[in-house]
Amino acid sequence: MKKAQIQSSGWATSSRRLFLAACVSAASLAALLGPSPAAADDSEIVLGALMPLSGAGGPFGQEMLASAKVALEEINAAGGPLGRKIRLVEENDETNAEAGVRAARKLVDVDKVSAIFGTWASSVTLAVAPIVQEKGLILLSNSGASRITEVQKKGHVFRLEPDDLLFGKAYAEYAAQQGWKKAAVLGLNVPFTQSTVDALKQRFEERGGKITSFVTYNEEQTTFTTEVARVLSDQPDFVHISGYEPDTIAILKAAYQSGLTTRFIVPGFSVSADLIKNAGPAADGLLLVEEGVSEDSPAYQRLAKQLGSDRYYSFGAQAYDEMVILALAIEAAKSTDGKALDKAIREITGTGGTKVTSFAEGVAALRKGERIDYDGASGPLDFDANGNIAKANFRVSKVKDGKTAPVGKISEVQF
Amino acid sequence: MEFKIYLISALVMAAIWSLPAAAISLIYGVLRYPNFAIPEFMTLGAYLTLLLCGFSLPLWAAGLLAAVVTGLIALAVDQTAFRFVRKAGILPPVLLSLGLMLVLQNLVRFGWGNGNLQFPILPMRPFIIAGFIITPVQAAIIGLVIVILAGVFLGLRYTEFGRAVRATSTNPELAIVTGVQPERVYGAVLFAAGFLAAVGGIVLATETSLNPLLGWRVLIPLFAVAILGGLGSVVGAALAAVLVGLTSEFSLFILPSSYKTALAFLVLTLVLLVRPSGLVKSRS
Repeated sequence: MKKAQIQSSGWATSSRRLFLAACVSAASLAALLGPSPAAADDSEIVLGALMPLSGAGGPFGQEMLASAKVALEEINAAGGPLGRKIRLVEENDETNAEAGVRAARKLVDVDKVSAIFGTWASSVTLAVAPIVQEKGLILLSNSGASRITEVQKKGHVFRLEPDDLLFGKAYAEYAAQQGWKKAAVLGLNVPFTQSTVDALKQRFEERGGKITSFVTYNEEQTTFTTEVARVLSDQPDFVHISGYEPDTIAILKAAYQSGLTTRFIVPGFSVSADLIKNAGPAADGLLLVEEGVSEDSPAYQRLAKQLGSDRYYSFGAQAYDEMVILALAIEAAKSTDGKALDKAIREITGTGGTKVTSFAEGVAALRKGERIDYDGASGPLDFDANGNIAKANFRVSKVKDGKTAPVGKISEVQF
Repeated sequence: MEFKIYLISALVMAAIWSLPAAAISLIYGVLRYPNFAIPEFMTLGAYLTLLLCGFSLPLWAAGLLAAVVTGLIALAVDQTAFRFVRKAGILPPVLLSLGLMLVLQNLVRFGWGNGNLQFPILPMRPFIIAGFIITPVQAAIIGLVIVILAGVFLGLRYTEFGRAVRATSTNPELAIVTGVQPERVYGAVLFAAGFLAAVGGIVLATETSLNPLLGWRVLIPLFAVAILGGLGSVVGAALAAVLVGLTSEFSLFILPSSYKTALAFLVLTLVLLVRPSGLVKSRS
């Protein structure tokens, strides 16, 4: 409590003592009389969780918020960074850039947050980043678009989601693991397809594979039978579909209905549980590549225990880590100033320090004057110069009879 | 092998395009304005079918009923909103149809959300006839569309009411003098257009999936097909759909797939250079 601090801060003169006593009693009287507007209690640290609680990212946003709260409880139970409690302010970005900007402004101007974390859609992250950079705060995001790297070069913005390029590399690594030699790609004609496919091609060729065909299609296309027949005519070992849900489902159906079979590999974010249910037998054997987590790390196990271990929390693990990283960075920087945090985030996650897997361990080590390296629930979390995850883990799952089950891992994929 | 797959795909594509394009042509032929709400009637028809499937109707019955309901909605909107701008030239009904397009699209978003939905039928493995690979559903779709097109064509050509429609299209004043009631004709045309568009939308959703942008995505190529067919001609619309289907599917032999749509416009340009009024000249 602030009042207690004032009282114990040395007693110079009796007149001052009287004055203080009067103040204190007046304050307590005010508190008794009714709810006074809480003055910003600078003994607590305010962080903003800006997440997609509705819209396309809705299911992910809810999971992220629940995970952030698990981290919040652990942090506050351990006394918080610098002995101060953290208060979390939730805002909904509606998976929409415009709503995201409005909510970010509110967090920055009204709630006076020290940092924002949890933006999921790339469009939202790209819209919110300038606000954060202008105020010199911190933004930790969960977005994949390669364009975000350019924004991150200006500082103060990091992401825990692997860059789309790393997804491209991950497909290649997995295919090489399986000994596949020929790949074909069906891609929606958008920028992210181009960057992902370039990365896939480069890494796959390094591993001795070959892309036999790359067919792009447009959003307004109605039938995909010919495209599927086209890419399969080279008999590839697998086909990667780089697109969104509507086209992915149409392609799966087209392949099934023309009696063709092949291995399809798609990113986890282009299929929902609904798609798998809807596509029925057409989705059988589909391989999903999702952003991985460190399943064996104590951090992930604590999180899964809290949320229920029946599911896989990839974005949840990221949100949990974002919370812990911010708290540890505040402790390491001894302040909530954005510039200091920007530096501290790299220091506490980078390699070379004592490995810690929770806020409590990290704080203990920092107070002993040690350097730390936080390895989180979502991965080892080492940021490169541009604020991207340098090495990402991925998980591969396979759809069988409408259910997905993990079939493999792709560890430490690098640029 | 590949050739045969392409051919079936082109026919399915033609089946999807031809009915909504015919709907645009019918309205243009009789009422003289391009109706931009037609793609949204496709979307609406598909979603109403999904709604009716929820009452455990089989897909074909739900589809038929939904197409009739969509036709009635098109009729109702025409008789309430469009009726009052009949004499005001081309621009007001065009603007109205643009407004209607946005309203319908957002009603669907409001009712069913933005996600991708599917009809409750599972994808089927195809059967092979003489080397042609086709699923039972695709065969049914192609058959159904041919039957509907023939019905519309014969109805226009050989029935009393069809004659009234054609008369109104050719010379409204003269038709009125000879006892045709124009509002009845307009209503019937809108009902038919709504019905045709809905069937097209249901077919498209069966092949892909339902989402609120189902019709919006095909707006421009659809108009290309209608114009190519010679606005105002149902037969022309069907022929144009087949032509565009064949060219765009077979273009894959020589061109990347993302040029499919561009190619449709190239065909459009070439045909219009030779025949400025489209494939089939409407009698106006």
